[in-house]
Amino acid sequence: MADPLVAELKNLIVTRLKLEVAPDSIDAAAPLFGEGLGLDSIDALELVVGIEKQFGIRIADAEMGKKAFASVNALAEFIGEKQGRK
Amino acid sequence: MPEPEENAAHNLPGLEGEPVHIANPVEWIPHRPPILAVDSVDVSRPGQAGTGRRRFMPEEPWLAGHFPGRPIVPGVALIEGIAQTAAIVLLSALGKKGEGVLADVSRFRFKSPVIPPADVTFEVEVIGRFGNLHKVAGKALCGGAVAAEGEVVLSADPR
Repeated sequence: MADPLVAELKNLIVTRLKLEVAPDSIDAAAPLFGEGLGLDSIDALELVVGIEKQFGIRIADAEMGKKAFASVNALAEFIGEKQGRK
Repeated sequence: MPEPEENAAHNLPGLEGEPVHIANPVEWIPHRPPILAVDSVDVSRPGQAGTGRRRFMPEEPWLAGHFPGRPIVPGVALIEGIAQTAAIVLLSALGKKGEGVLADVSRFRFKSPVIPPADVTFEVEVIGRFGNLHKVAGKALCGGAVAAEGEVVLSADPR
């Protein structure tokens, strides 16, 4: 069964960035930036704001973002780790 | 600020300082007339929030064609005022003059026309930050009414 957090993140990405794709069509293992979904740095900022609002988790710097935004799966793992520490 | 959902105004880390009044914006940003969109800026929280002010007069060059005989301050001038205020808010925290490079403009609404002569106030607040990009919610107020509000993204590049 699919990870509900992964599904939630796909929805957040599509809604927040106003992407014209179905959330289910996003490959959870594909890179979010560059190849893959092809997001840019302004999209990254938008996701940082959305993730903080939805999960209360701050992605403080580009180094942390590089790890968190590697893919939807990586982002889910990152948020899961942060939530586990709360 | 424009939307309550964006107004989880947190104290973003890394930038702070005492409030400061900037009487001469040209000492901080490279903009010059007629594109200088702020006369002064009060930075209430360096790196976070502040208020810019600008008096628009009917004879200004960018009002000549907008519109002939019926001057209305263009929306782009109000966006520019918000962006320049935000740039000074960010640069003042760094203590260095430089450029605020506009990267994105979103969710702008223009609610009432600004008819010169008019005193406009630009209120800005940083609502998100990632790397060198800063997401800013801004309002342009004139005569007590909101003339425009929306969000901009800019980088603050010290020189």
